Amino acid sequence: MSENRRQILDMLGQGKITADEAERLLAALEKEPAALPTAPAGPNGKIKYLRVLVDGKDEREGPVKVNVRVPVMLLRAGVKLTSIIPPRARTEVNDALRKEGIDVDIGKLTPESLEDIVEQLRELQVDVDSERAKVRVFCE
Amino acid sequence: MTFLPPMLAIVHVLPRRMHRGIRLWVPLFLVWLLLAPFVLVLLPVYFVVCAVVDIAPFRTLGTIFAVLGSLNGTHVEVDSPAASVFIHVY
Repeated sequence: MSENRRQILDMLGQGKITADEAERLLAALEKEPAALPTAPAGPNGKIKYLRVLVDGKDEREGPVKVNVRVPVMLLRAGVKLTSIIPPRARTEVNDALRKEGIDVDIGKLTPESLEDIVEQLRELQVDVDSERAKVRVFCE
Repeated sequence: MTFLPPMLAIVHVLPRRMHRGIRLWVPLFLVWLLLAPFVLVLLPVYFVVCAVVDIAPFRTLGTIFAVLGSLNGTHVEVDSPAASVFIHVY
């Protein structure tokens, strides 16, 4: 029995979800291998793109499909932007983050830590399956 | 990481009500060429502003080029009953 299936049954046993919800989740899980292609990495094993797929239904207008592919390099370059923030503004950003409970010094983001963040994205996979829309976020 | 900015963008906007939408091939390299003289003229101002706000001018330029360079391969596609939009950056 897969870990996901066991979690669903556990949640059903604990009364966190109803039998209908559990049935829907299990059905979605069964469809998963066919519906979700594995995220192929680049030739050197690095992820290249962040993909967002939305297959929705607008009540007034009808079906809406969105397909967005963002290069992961843009994320890398975006994080590099933190290095050009003036020192005074950097302190303010750090303070604001700390107030929100995020104890990160954005001035200390190194290329290595950035690679770690990007590497963690390899495992990223978000699937939302509701009546109105199916949303998938993954890296490839 | 490439510092070469994107050279071409394809933009298609097809409203369903209209028979013909907009199909554009935007030669971005021409945009960069046209902007280059303005960038050269504004460069001294840029260095003064960087000194005033205390940011590293060359590192900032490098980062801007890195962001532009990383746009290559960006793809946005929206298909709705009202309109269809397609953007691809090369």
